[in-house]
Amino acid sequence: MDIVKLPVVRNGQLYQFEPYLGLLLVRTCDGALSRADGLPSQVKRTLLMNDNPYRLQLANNYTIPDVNRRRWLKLYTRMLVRVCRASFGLARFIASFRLPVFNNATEAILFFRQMLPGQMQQNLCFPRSLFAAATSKNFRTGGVLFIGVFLPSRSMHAWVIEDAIQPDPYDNMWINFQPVAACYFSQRT
Amino acid sequence: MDVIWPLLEQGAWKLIIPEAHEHNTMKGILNRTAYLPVIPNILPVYPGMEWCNSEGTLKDPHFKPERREASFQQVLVAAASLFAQFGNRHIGVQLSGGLDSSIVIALLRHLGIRFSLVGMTTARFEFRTERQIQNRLAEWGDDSILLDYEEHLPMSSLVEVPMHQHPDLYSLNYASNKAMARACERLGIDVLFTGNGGDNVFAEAMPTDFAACTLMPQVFVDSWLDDLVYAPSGVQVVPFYANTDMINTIYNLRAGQGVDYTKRWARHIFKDLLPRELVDFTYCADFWGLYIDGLMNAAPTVRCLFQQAYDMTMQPYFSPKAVDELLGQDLLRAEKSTYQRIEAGVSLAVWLSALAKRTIN
Repeated sequence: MDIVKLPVVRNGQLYQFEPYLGLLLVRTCDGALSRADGLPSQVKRTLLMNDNPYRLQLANNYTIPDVNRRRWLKLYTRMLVRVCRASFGLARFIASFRLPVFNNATEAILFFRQMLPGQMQQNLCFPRSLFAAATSKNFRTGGVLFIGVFLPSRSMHAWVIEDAIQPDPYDNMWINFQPVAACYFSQRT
Repeated sequence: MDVIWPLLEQGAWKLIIPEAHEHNTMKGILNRTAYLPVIPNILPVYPGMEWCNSEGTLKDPHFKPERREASFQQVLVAAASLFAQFGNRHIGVQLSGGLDSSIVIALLRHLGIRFSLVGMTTARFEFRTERQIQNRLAEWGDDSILLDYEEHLPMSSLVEVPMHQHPDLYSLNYASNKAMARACERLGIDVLFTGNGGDNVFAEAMPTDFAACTLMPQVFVDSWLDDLVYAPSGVQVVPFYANTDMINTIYNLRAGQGVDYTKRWARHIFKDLLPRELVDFTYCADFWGLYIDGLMNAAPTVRCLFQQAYDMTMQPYFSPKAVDELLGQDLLRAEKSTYQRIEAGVSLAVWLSALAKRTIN
């Protein structure tokens, strides 16, 4: 899974995501950035929709997945959560090995939410998004995982946009977060 | 009593209990019954509150809906009847870009009633959908003014807050509302409708048992702002969803529904009047960013206000050490409890500072 940085400049501060440790670095900076330059087309296209959310489509066609159907998927979910807590880079590496078992990211996310229900989901945005990236059949060709910051706070969030759809029906906060990094599967791999 | 100015002039402000104000802030507007007196033996009676003899306390009564036939047509009738109450006066609507005020705007347009629009806008990333709706709806009014929120952030112009009898959190939003009141004046708006209460009537559960209704329309009114900011500009503020007929109609239509935080019911029932974006999508920006920047900008003023409050009261709550502790917290964590304490302290210091203009010699 590749990652591209999407640096943000605000009030003379440059916010830049460190792609191995998963940290947001801040330093003073003059001028503005043109962040669309040199981005992979898949990221560029999806970023444009993220910046113009009314261009997105609605997630209508999905089936509620059966949480009991695969024991190994449950184990994978729990493992991913643990690894995300331990290491950002390792989690991203593990999610690079795709397990495309769900038709789309919505079904993957609903499965993940059923596996670990309740308040704890508030702190699981990154493993949830990685899970969707790894297990959705459509993500490889049409999905981007964004990592964003809600400026000026240090609050961060991860979410997915796949095939012009924000697939998580329960995520009502993604709109506030400005992307600082995008993870995607390069079309050449 | 109608006013407590005489008591304040006699020095009642010296006895304030800051912890009580903090307690009330934490309780929030929906729990005003549990408020403690900030000035000993004095509890403000907000519009709509009632005295409960048996318990010896003030109560916020719940709305008692009437059972009636209801339909979308009756929503239109209720809206037309409410607007008609203001006859030939120049109607304005707060244009926030959110759903609730957009419904008011859409109803006015549908009913063929002329109106103007006034709102706050910002170029911040998180408000990109609100901005789009604001630009779209601005074309629906006869005229409109969109003010830059960045110039009127929360907690700005704190030293300009007028004297008021009791500390109030709305004093922290004085600057933006003052700017809106002035914009209303420029447009000649007499009556300003707001979307206040939409979060309640559209999102709260509406029990089939009407007696179990928990709506409190009296809390939809921001009386501090209405009296001290809009009224001096000749503007009457009307929270659209506090209207009894409107609440009854919506309640009867929604009876039996659970909580609906994304307001899908409202988006559906008004779908033919609203822009498609508001019908299909449920985006809602967070105001935290504005609040954090507002507080960071206001920090030097807040320190001065606390120093003044300390000099006036000698209460440790306002001491330099206390203000260092309050503002020394990690303000970028965006945690509600941190901000509530700060809001309570600042609004109390603002009250004392404003009071000093009149009562302190």
